[in-house]
Amino acid sequence: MPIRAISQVATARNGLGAFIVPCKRVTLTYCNWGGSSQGMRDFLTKDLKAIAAKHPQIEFKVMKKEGHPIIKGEYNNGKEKVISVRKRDPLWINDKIYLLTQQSGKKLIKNFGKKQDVESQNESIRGIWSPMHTDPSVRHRV
Amino acid sequence: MMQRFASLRAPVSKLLTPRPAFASIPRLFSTSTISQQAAAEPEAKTVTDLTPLKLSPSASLYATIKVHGRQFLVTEGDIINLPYNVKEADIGDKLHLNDVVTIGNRDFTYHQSEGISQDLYKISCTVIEKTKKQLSKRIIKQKRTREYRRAFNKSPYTVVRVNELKLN
Amino acid sequence: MSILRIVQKGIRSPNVLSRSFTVSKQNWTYAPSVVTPKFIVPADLTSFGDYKRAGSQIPVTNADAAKAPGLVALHARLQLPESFELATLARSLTFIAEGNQYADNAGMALFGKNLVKYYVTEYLMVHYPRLPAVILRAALNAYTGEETLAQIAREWGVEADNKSEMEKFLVDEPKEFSLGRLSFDKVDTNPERGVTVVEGGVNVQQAAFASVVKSVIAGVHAHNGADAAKQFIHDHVISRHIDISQMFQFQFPTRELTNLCSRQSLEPPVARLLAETGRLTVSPVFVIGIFSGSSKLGEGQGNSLLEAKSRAAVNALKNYYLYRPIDPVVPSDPKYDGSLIDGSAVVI
Repeated sequence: MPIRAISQVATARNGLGAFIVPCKRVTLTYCNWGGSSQGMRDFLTKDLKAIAAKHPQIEFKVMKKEGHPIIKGEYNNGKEKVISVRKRDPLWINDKIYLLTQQSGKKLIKNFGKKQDVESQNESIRGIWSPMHTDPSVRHRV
Repeated sequence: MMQRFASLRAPVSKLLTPRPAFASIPRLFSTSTISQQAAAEPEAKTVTDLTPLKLSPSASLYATIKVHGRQFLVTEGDIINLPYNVKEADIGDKLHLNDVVTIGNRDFTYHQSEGISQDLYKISCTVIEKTKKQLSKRIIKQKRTREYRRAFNKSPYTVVRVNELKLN
Repeated sequence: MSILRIVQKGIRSPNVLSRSFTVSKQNWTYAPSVVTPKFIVPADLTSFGDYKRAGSQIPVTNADAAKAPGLVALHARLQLPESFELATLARSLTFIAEGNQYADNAGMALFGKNLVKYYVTEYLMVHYPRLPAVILRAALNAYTGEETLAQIAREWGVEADNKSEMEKFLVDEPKEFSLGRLSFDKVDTNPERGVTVVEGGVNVQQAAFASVVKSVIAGVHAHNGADAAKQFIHDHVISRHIDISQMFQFQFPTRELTNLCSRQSLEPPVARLLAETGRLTVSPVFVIGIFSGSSKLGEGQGNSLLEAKSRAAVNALKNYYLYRPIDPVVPSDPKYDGSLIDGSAVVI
């Protein structure tokens, strides 16, 4: 009657110990001809270098591609997020890139209630209340 | 606390301003009213003996912390979803939580409704995500009229992970 | 879906260009075995310095590695110090395969595996000194198994080099860009549709991803020292979550507990009913405590007396095995005093 073990795989807790930036690549596409890429072209020539220098953890990839410009974030969990930046100005593109770099690639949640404010993997520290363990003299009587 | 946040609000184009790499800058998070009170009346301090909390057989601790007046019961490794954009912090930044009401374990609890002295504990967390909720649509309509309009909202929230929770 | 026993056929594709562009991931996941390094053995077997790896593999230069954007970003993402060379990181991303152009990570991965196993074992043995050997091994495997390490590599943002040479040529990709991706031999086993591999074979992809984590740990040890490697393992591996209390599977918990008590020269365990309700209803609840003499070892509740007793025994066993000392110190710590746990002599 030996003890048997049930195997497990340790799950990640990013931020406890090391923190890995979840966004690994931001792809920016532009068209050399189209007017909808004007803001993107301005952004690429003026602002991109500073942003890329500020985020060494993220690979910035610029692609010349016909059609409207997009920005795409790729994440460590394998997900992608694409935002169209058609006819947008550099400041707007800047804000959206900031948004992509700050996200984790998870699906956006609809809402969370009071109970979902804290997500815990740990066992309940104070335990679960039990009617059997209250003092019999103060128990509720029907 | 809110006023302090407003005064620290970052400029719109945050990305354009150069900043050092993530996680290299531990920053103080929300110097709350409690620490200001504690500074105002130092003679009220008494040394609290938390030996029962430290030496209890159940090693794990929990704490009830307050952020913007909202209470969260957390343990080490927990994720807190803060229902607003913490504008001062980027992902990877470390925040020190200094507004703590309760610290306890299974057997003992130390509670101070006006806040526990900051010398007794160290609780910090890392910002791991700043994102938005799904787009929510709401129809706004007056009674007995045909007109209505839709209101769209994508409210921001910040996810932090408690990575240190210990007694000094 | 039909489940066959094993797909053992492994045919390595003759050359890279002949591979189809639309190779699905399933097709190169399993291989009969991983290539093992070959060594040149000196005539004098005791001259240990003369053992060499066979083949002429050249190391990546730092200048080449700096041209790979994926590699530079990975270096920054892992917050590796400057002294950790980019060339080392590039080598960590080269899994052993026949016909590799650059030096592979086989040696680094072997050393890194031993490092991570050592530090996780000492952590577990000191933090849970009473764990049975089976559970200790399972917990070690949960932290340092191939599956977990491969998972860590994916969470670091390591990508497999899935592009064929032709695809790279068509998009005019510089040669150095491939250094930022994990290269390994994508064996074309081509299992039939609907066939699931149940056992046998080696998951090459998983082994390759796991080797990245092991090699980076070895690299940290080589460039930044043992303390940095230990810290790195604590940050990336031990910080992950496992629930050891859910790893136990007792066949006969009451018998196990009786044996334990006799081993520890405690009085034999006695089960006592602490509380009950609704014994004659469809949903009775019993709370049973297990006592050894006057001390309560554990407690359980259930819908029948037997269930409650069994749970109480499991609870008592877990209370014993999952004991955690206060302020544990691991052997690699300078202030470690092996003879003392909790400030007194070891009683296990």
